[in-house]
Amino acid sequence: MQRSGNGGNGQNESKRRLTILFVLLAACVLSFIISVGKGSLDISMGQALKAIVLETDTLNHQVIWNVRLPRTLTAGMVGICLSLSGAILQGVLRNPLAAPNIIGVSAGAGFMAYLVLILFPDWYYLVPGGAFLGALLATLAIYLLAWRQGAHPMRLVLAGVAISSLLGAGINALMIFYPDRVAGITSFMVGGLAGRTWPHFNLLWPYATLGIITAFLFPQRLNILMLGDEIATGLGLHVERTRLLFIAIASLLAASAVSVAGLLGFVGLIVPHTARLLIGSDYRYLFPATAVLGAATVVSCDTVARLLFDPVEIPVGIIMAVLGGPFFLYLLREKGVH
Amino acid sequence: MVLRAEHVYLGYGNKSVVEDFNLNVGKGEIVSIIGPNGSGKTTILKSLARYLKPQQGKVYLEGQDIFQLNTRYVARRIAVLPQVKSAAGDLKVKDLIEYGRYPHLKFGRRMNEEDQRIVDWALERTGLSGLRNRPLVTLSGGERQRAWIAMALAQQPEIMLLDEPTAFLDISYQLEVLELVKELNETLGLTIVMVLHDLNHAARYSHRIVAVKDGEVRSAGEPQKVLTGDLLKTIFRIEADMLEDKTNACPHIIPQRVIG
Repeated sequence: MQRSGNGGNGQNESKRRLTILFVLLAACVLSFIISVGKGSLDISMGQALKAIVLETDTLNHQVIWNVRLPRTLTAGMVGICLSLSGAILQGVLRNPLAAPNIIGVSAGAGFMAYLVLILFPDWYYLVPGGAFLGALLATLAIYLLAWRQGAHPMRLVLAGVAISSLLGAGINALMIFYPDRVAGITSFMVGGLAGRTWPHFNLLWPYATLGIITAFLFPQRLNILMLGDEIATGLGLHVERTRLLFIAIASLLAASAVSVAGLLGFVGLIVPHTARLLIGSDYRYLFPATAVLGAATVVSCDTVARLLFDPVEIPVGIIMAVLGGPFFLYLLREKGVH
Repeated sequence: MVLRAEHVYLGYGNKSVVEDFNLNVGKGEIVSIIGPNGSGKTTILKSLARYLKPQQGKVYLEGQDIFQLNTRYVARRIAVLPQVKSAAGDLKVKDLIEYGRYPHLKFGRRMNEEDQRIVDWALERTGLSGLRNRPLVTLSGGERQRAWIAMALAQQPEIMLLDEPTAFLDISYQLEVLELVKELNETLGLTIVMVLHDLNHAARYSHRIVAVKDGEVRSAGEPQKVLTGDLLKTIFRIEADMLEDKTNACPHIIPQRVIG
């Protein structure tokens, strides 16, 4: 975000940022309430609260507690994980186009999911674990390939492109050799949250918590890393150690989200970028803004996905791309970013 | 000797860039490293800044191996301004300078009043108090370079390493930045090691000059001693008229032609 003039004084600035954070948080809570209330069975906010806290044997309670609440929470966690991952990578790689797929998360997870679903279809329940593992292994491979007296951001990006296209070739080969078994995998590639409940949520929240703790503890390190490797070293930061730590966390975050919800790649690119346009690139504010906006985005897009052609459900990945793309373009034009 | 390089060999991968480099920098000195493109000046500065680890040899900060010291501790003694730096489009001048306090802050770090006072002081010393809330990218080249120097000052270092601090600046800003460096040296006793391209700047602003070519030191000492017609011929392949700048009591070079 570029602003001319002297941009007001410092106190106004932090007031503005806190206001934006508050608005984003309110949007997040609102999207959460709507998501829990709306569906084939409409439940008002008061009833919903009552159904969660007080009742245990009503239909409302059944629907909310067993279906909507876990799905909404999972959607929120997926949003937090993917967008924090993207925010971290955009800083570590000093590249505004960085997203979890750059460090091989999408390709690695996709390849493993295909491998399981096509070659061992009876073991379909291994898909989340396999995708998680595939994502982490791809990141590891990219990091090792990029290492030469340090893992320079540009080499990381290039190694990421190379490994991703290699794994993409593997995916295509599997599809060509087993064209009859492709049907089941489309939903994983598009990404969706249909039928996600407590076990999925339980898979996610430890990583989301890790991401949030990291974001809370180390924003200043990422700020300093953004100044360049040499400056960061000069300021007393262990550049390679810090970079590896952040990449590992970004990979864990994205891998956990992808293993639960499939390849929702778009969130990790566009949410952090949008948050940056709104609140600036100081990670002390950008991290919380990204996390809250990520949760709000995925939760509300998932609500739309459920409701739009009820009872038929659209994969949330499609909704996200259709709504997010134009909105992002609008922001880019409005804010005049270079 | 506050900063010392001993038999330092530097390179990238298998490519050797600097061989057997030795340097002694005394407290309060301004030392300039000069040499043609590709001579290894920047590489040398990177190793003094502990950014590039020597393949052989050691760099000592007050007698201790700089790569063995805690990097935060080093950051409180040495500030570094490389040529390659980047800043987000909305980074404000005061935010940049606050990063200079990073090595002084403990974990769970927040700036206290003392840190704030030092940031204000750095702003004032570099004449940027009025621009503190401006995004860095909206400043002129000279102001921006002063802002980076202010960040380095906020580290409260004893030594400052500058890689071509005047690069891409027009002539008035070049002078402004070098005058600032000189003033900081004289008033704070700051030790300066810098890479300079302009030989006349090196002549005027350095206590000592180190001339390197092909990764080797060819000559070192006071400007009058180092900057000779012979040296310019062998190192820079130029013939030059050697004059004296009486105002600043230093040699002044007028390059005449390149030797074939």
